[in-house]
Amino acid sequence: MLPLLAILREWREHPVQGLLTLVGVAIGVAVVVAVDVSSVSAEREFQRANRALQGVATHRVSGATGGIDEQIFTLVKVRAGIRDAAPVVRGSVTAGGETLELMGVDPVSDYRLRGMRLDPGDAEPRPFPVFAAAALADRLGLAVGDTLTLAYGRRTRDFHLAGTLNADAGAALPANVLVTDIAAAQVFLGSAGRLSFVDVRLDDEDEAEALRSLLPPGVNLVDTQTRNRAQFAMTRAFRTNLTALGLLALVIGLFLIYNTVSFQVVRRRPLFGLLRALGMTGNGLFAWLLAEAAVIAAVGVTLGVALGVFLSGFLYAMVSGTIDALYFDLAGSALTLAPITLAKAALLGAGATVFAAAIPALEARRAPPRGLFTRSSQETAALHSRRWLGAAGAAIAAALLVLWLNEDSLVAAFAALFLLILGAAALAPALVWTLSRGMEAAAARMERPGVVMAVRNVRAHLSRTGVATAALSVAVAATLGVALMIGSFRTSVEDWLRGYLRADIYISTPATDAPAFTDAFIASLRHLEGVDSIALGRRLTVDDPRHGPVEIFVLDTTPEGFAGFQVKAGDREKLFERFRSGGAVLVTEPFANRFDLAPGDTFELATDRGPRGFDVAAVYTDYSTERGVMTLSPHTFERHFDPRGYRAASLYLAEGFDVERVMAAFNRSLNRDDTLYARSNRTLREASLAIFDRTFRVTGILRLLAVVVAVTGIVSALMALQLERAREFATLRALGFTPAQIGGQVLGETTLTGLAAGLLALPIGLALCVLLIRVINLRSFGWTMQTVIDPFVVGQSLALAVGAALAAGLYPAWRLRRFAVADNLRGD
Amino acid sequence: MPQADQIDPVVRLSDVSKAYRDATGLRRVLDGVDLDVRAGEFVAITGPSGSGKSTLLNIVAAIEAADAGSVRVGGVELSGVPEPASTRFRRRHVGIVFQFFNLVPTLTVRENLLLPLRLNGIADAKRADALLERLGLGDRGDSFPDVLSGGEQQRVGVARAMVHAPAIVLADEPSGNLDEAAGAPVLELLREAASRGSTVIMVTHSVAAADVAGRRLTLHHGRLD
Repeated sequence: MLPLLAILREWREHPVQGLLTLVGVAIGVAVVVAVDVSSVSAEREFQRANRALQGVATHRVSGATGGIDEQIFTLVKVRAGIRDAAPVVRGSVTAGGETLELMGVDPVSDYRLRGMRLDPGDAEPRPFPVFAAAALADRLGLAVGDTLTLAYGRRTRDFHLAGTLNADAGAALPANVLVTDIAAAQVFLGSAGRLSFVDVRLDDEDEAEALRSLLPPGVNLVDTQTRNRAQFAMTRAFRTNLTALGLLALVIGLFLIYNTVSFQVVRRRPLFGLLRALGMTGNGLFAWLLAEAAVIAAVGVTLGVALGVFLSGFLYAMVSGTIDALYFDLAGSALTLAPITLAKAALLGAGATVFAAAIPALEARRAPPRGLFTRSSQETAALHSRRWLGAAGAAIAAALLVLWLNEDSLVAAFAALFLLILGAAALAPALVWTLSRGMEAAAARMERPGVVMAVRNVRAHLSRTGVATAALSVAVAATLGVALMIGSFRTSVEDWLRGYLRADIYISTPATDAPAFTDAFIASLRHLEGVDSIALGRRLTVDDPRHGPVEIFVLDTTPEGFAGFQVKAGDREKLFERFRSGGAVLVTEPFANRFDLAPGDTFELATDRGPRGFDVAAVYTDYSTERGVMTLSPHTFERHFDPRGYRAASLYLAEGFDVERVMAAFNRSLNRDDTLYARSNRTLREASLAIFDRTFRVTGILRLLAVVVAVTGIVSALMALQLERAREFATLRALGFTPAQIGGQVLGETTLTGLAAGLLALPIGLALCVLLIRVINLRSFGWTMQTVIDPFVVGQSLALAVGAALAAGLYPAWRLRRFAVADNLRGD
Repeated sequence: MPQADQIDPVVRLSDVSKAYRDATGLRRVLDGVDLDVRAGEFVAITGPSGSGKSTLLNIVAAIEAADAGSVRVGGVELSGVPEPASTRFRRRHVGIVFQFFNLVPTLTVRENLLLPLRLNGIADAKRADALLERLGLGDRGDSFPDVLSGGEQQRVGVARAMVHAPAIVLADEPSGNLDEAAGAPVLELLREAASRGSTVIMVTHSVAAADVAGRRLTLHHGRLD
């Protein structure tokens, strides 16, 4: 046991190094846990919200775009004999500035499907009752019996809170949903005699087929699984983002753990040499080191999971905030620590720790005792430049091969991305070595011993700093790559908005299912003083049984407005005429990508008259939604769908009229009750970019987290290295170096290490940016974009790497001011 | 009065005391030490382990400060000299030989020798090459320290302490880590330094090594006899 005691006492003798090791493992694990917990929680919350609204329904009976006749419910219940069928009338309403969903239901049949109970309070029954979950009622400051004024477009009505919405055990409560009876909803939403849909539970496909055969044209039976698949695609962009950054955190976490643990083993080589010389077997030493690594892993993983859960609270707030802004409200705030997260953390922490210890431990097992005493042998071994270069070349070649062999696969693109990162990281030790070697001659010419030592020390300590340098390179490269990608994306979106938003003023309803503009209102718009021409539009979601929800955009525009479309593919010749009256449609890039369409293809879609084919004339640039949109003219729309009216208008002003004045006139005369949005071109563009920036805010946080992990790695590696050089510093002080000179040397070394990491990060970052833009974004969302290399962002990344490494040298340099020279002259 | 970094270094210690605090309390290692060393003199100080020999050298080298008493080198009171003047004094006027060699591992043998020269702004690299030749290490100049034998490392250590012709050479157990055959040339080098005018103070627990010096003193219970 004495050898073990000697090994363990090393920890007591060097508590800071020991602490840095544990911190390294804990932070590596924590980042992975934090990213995982927040993204799993967001996804669970999304599923929960979805489940709350859908319950145990297997299918939905719905119209292509605008609901169904209420007689359909009778048909489902009586003619088809479906027992579990729940009719719903639904609309987006506003209350106190908050957008809520009003659901008109039949309480009995709805309970059978969704498990939601409407528990009435003590208040007198009154018309227009509404039920809300206790949390929502609290948020709105309402008690049972209180009046709640709801607005639907320009229409308002007082409802009263009649009770609480509760769920059976196991069922989830929808957030932001108000429930009323069907009649009240029909009256308020202007849907007399109509239903939004009927949810049904069917036993098997035969029953579904039987029901389908009874439905009239334009009414579809949609499998909820198809709906869900499409629904989930809504958040694909977001989840891809999180997954990529989660993987990045994992890789950097691995680097960090590998670095700190292997450092702890490498540092004690002289002790191992001594123990081996005293008779400890190589296998015995190896076993002790692995056992020690297991203990470090256990403590580090425990600390890391705790820290990760703590961090995930902040991260989840960001994630759910972004999802709220872009997709739907995630009301829940419970964090989900899934077993898979714990397994991943344990595997990462324990696996990486034991692996990191095993490599130098194996070397210590094999090396002759004398070899363990000398540093030059380990530094040479640390480099193994040919081996590392070979590994780098193999990884990069594999990345290219994977990309070439799998033209469409997103998984392959991610695999290539990480192979590229690993390959590039393997170049780090060789680059540090080359840079140091290259600078040595110049340093020698300066005839300043401190400079020569600083340059050479960078190379000499590669066994301690190589992996940390690689981790810093990877983190900075990832930051650079993602920042350049976001910058390129933003520039592309800005350019697109500049071309697309050509009108001066945009008028729209607050919700996508708000009542349409009346003809009188449209006529008033045309006659508003200063208005030269107007374009009208409406977005609708078609519930297609095969494709799930498909978004279409009906656009009544002028040739000038049409010129704003940036056509990517398709014949531009007489495009406007073919669009306006020839039945041709335009699709966005994501739409073309989602349904594998090209100009000349026909896209089949459910309509009010049954399934119809639409001729795709062109593919155009559009960054408004990753689900994609099909744009068609009123002429084409009305051939296949019932008239729906418009919910958005673009106003083109005549020469010399001021936007703000016309908007003020509009608000005075046509928007007195403030139920419509009126935004200037500039405001709308700014709002669009604000949404863009908000989408990527969480990316920014995750990037920051990755950088923090890498910086922690480099700080701990460089700091631990400086701490173990006490005797060398004492000698230099005894020889006449001042504390400032040695401090300068330490900072020079760390800066040079950071410079090497930064220089390596630049080509990797650029390659990542190109891969993200040209491959991953394209395969994920179907968006193409320009590649913009911002020199400021590139410089910032280099400064980040150098700054991080410089910071790592500050504490050891500062410590040298009070350095006990005499105490350290003899010590190791 | 001459400045600290311009002094003519002749060592005079008067009533110097030094104590350390350890687990057992305050441990006095030097207790009223008096010592005069003339220019060019080779003095050996012997004593058992832990008697304060290294502490005495560190005080003369301005690495440590005495708790009490006067440490005058070249007529200047050293204990009052602040940083970085004390470092500049040591750099210019003192050469130190360490028991464990303490060569800078990332510098070659030749660069280790050049270190004191460069620190003092002396560009003359030939001096280091000549010294290496004289030590029989001419072919090891480009080697790194960890491939040298202990004797070779210590010869480099002594050469490094002498290369900038310091007024004082302080040697802390210079042969303590070497066998007799390897230690003899090291001691010979120190004697040579003294014959060239440097003041050499060597601490050792070896009677044989002490015999090489011109004067021998013993540190016992914190006092020099």
